[in-house]
Amino acid sequence: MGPYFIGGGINGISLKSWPLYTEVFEADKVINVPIAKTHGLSTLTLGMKNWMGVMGGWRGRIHQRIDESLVDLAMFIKPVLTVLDAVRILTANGPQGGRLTDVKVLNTIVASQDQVALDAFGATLFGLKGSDLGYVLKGHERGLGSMDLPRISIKRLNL
Amino acid sequence: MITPIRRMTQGLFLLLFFWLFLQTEAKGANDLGYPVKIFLELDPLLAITTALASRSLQQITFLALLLLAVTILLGRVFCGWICPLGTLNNLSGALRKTRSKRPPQNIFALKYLILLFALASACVTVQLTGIMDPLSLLIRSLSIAVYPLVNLSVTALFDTVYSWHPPLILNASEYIYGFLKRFFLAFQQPHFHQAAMTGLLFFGILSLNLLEKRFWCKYLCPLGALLGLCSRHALLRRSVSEGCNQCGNCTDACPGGAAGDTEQPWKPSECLACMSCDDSCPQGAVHFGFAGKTPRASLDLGKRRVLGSILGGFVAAPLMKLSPLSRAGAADPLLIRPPGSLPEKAFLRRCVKCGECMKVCLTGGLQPTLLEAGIEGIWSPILVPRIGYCEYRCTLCGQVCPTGAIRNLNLKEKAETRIGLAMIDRGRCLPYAHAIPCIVCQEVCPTPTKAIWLREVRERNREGKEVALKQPLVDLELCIGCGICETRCPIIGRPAITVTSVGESRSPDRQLLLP
Repeated sequence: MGPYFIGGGINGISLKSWPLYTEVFEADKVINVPIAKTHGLSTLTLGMKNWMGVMGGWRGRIHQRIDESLVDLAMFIKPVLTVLDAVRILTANGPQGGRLTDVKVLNTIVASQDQVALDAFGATLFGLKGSDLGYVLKGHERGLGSMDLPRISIKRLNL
Repeated sequence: MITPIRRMTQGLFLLLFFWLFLQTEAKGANDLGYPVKIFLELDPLLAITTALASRSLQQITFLALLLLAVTILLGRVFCGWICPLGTLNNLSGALRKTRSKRPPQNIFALKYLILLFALASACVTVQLTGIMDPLSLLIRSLSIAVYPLVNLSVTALFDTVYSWHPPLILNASEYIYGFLKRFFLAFQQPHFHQAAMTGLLFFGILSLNLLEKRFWCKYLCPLGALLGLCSRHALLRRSVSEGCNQCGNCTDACPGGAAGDTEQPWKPSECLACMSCDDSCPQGAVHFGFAGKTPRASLDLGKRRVLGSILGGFVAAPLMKLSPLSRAGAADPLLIRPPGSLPEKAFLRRCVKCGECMKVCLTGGLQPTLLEAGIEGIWSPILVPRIGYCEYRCTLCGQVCPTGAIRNLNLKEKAETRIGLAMIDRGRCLPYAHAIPCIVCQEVCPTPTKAIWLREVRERNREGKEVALKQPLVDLELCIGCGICETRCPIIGRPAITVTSVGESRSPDRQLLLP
């Protein structure tokens, strides 16, 4: 009944254990649906950064080693699919606050089974490269996924 | 038989009161949709004392006038049939089955003296009525103590059943828990300073009913006293006919100590119009009606006692104002009032400490004061950002305030209302003091252009290695003091960023920046 599960088994480089929502681990399959927006430390909030949303406790502490911690979480949770909502993106004063002029309408949705590839592609929506984001770089190095966009097949659909 | 009808009426009003109390909770929209403060608006004592203290007729509500008119015509029907605290007193009195046939103590006058003190102090701008006004007291006690207590107990009970995992019973208990969670339990467990003190006071008042039925209503309630004064010449009168054999049943049944037989006259100001005397008379000799003349007891409070209470009320004002807290520079820096609060002096003249704002506060940050605002301001609302911040898109506290101590702002006004300023403690802040990255305060800052901005610096760590850091700074022009930075600061205990009330919009004499 308690909302949290003590995530004893993260055993990552930065996070060994942390209270995480039970629902994520009770589900048969987990699909991550983040919204693309700016962030002061990690530059952008895309797929991997969204895992902070299932953390309990004083999660603000993870900013001390944000990139490594996000990769730890992403490797532990293993979603089957990530769907990035970039219909409207927040380009400044995020993730909270901001004003309507900071919002850009892209009408784009990105989906991938590879969390690193998705975040690397998401960075391009803001005019950045995947390697500009510390957690994308670390995720690529640790084998979570690939940020090498030219070598990934990207299907574009216009609906 | 009137008793069952009266009990049903009391029950319905109590349910309505509880239901409105439960609706005094944010449910996603910045609008509650129900008139949650209607009982407070019905209270003529709050209306009169607030009007006196604030020198404004704005608080004299139609409902309060209506209740006065009804009382002048019918007597204290509010006390006997409507008042939710009165009904709770009835219920707690029922816990004691047998009572000695002791006559009530002769301290009826006490409540009138309390009333006179409250009225006199209101005349000299001190609003202390809320401390003992029954509706204020009830809502405050429920908000701060009873509801959090019930919520905690119920959750603990169902958690225990869940962890035992008994088959079948678990299904039932989970079903009931789901129902309670949806309609009764709080979204988040509320926690309040002084919960124990407020709770003990409240349960103390209820347990007085074990000594005597409706002890509070008979001897202490200032609203009862006001309504009692109004009902002295009520048209609805009690009469005892020739059939009376002075058995004393009506006197025993009377919860107000008002019923006399043919020998002793009826005390109209003490009569709760519950009509238990009528029901209890074996001869059928007691009646309530609009016709005829009936002997009435006069109300003798004692000249000296009356004078003493009024003088006491007058002296309260200078005594309260002696505190240095009323000087701009000496005010408690942690006295952060809800957004839309009137300037402190005007605020204290209106706040009746009902606790509605604390009940409705989305984050639980609004807490009752003890002495931060002086004795005068006891149990008034204060934002404690370490407990909860002021949500940028919420104006609920102003919507539920019954006396206008907190103005009802629109969202645009709210966004421009500064309740304090945040300042960073560089000796505790991670990027400043310890060369460790952290940007939480900037991340959560809700203003359109963030009031907290980051300055990129390069520092050397112990190994001499250069590290890039972002250090937060507060833009004092943009900060509105909402306190979310302090709530979320990862430095547990004493945070590295704190809000104090300096610069609050409502106080021209507490500004920091030049205009």
